Amino acid sequence: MRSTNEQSLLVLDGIDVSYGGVSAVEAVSLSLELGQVVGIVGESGSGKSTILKAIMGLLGKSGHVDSGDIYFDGELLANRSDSERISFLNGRAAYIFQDPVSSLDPLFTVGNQFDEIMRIHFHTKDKAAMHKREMELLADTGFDDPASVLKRYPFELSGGMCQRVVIAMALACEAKLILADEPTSALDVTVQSQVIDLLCRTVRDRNVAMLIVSHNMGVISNCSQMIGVMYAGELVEFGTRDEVLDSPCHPYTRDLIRAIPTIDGQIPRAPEAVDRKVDSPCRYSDRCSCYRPACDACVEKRSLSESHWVLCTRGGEA
Amino acid sequence: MKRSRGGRIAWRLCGALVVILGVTFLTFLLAYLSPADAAISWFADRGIYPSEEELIAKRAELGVDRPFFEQYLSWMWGLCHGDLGESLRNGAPVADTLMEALPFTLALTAVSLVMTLVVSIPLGLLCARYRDSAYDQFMRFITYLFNALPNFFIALLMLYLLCVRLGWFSVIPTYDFKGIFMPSVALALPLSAWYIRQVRALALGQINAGYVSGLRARGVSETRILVKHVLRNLAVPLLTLVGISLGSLLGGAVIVENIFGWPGVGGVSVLAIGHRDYIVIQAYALLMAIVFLIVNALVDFSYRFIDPRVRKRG
Repeated sequence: MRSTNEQSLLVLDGIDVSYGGVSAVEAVSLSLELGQVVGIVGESGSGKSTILKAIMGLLGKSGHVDSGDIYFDGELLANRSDSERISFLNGRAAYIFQDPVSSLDPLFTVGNQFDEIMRIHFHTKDKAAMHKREMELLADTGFDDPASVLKRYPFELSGGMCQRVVIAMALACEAKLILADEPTSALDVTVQSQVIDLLCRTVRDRNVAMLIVSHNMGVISNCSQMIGVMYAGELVEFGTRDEVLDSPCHPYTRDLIRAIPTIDGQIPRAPEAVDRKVDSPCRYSDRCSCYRPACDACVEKRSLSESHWVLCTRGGEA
Repeated sequence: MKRSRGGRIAWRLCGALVVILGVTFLTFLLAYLSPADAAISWFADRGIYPSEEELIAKRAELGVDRPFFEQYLSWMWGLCHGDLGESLRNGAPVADTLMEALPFTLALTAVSLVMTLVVSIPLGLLCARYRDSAYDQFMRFITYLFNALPNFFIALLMLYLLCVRLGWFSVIPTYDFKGIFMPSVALALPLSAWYIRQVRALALGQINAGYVSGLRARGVSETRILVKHVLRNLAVPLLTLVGISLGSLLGGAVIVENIFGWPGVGGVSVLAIGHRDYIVIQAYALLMAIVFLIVNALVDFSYRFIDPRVRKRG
């Protein structure tokens, strides 16, 4: 593992996160290289956003990384406090929020908030240069008239526009890592693909890394090279895009893919939980269609290829 | 319902008129129902023990023997002609007496309000910033204590400690900053305690807002978030608070003015209540209602300067 730590931009090594003693994420490990997009998919409450918040130091008072290590560019983050982590990652990582409109201060213009970030990151007071750079960044994120955007307040912009402004601000910091927390969930369907395209283009053009989290399999499969599937705080399957989508091995991944609505009007249903009253080590056992009593014995990580693994004793079997 | 600018102002003025009518009617009713007798007070002031005939004659002279509605309507009639009448107690024109005293009360209220804001905003923000710390716990205890103490008690305590025991201030007020300091502090202390708690709660609400995480993630320092962004976002609810607390401030001023001998409208009104001088009581209530309405209109109007959403959406 050490050797990958040195090449990878971000390494999570078995992190456990809890909120006020209640475990939200358990033993999650993954690594991320420059130019790579890793997508994590899972249902609400599965702990996807918690991973991003733990990396950035946005867990708040009640949240805590209990064990495991987070390395950024070879530097250990886990032993730093939230505020130390934020100031370390400041300019190195950027966070894209689910709700772009409320992640901007409603009482200041976009230009004012942009200036603030430029001043923090470049310690410059040169207004003209700052303004020029802001205009470039906004033009890069697809605004035809960046000057007017700078004069607007967040409530005067649409959700998609705000998200692009937030992305432009993230680019201003020249971050190497983009943490995108459900970046499209609050947006109209037509705007979703624009924002995803913009994020993917950014990763490609600027050679940065992105960890994107969504409950929408479509969004994740569109842009990620590697896909992780989360269930109840655990990463249950991880592999390249094709491995996970074409040969899903965890029953939950298969159910998730099956649950993508199709154009011919079939609305597939996710399996309902069945109360088996068994304390199984496998968290999906109560909804799993492949459950066997043998599953209660143990649950283990099985490698299927160099990049593909699954957290299921029966992994791969139908 | 969408109204034009002129329509909104007209609607507001109508509302103000209703409030003023209601206030004058209710105070009149209360003064009428109170057991004090203006005629007895008149004689008592002059050290005369009146006979029954003298009392009846005096009541007729002052006009207080007339039926309730007749008294009220004749007072309203005077008001419509810009005449607030003369004091039943000493015959002085009420408008002059009140206008002489009003600047003192306004100065007192303004100074204590500024003191309150200057003290409670930073202390409240610090409580929110270092939530559950020893400082926060301490402030919570202190504010709890001062919240529970009525301002007349604080006033008496200050008078005893600072003026009598320590002799730092004169018991009889001078009409300068030193003189206004004591009554303002007595008013500001319990109010600050309440404000600190409000600022703390409001700031804690803001700290969980999305934009704070957003700013944090974009590298804005915690202090800057608090001082620039949270404070600005607090301005609207704080302003509302100022509008609301004005009532308790003006009410508290009546008592504190009396204790410190500050020559504001509070002293005038307490004297008038004791003498059932309804002409003065009416004018005092009217004046306070107008001050209250003006301040609240200013508060509402200033929202548009603070919040662009109000300004741009109208």
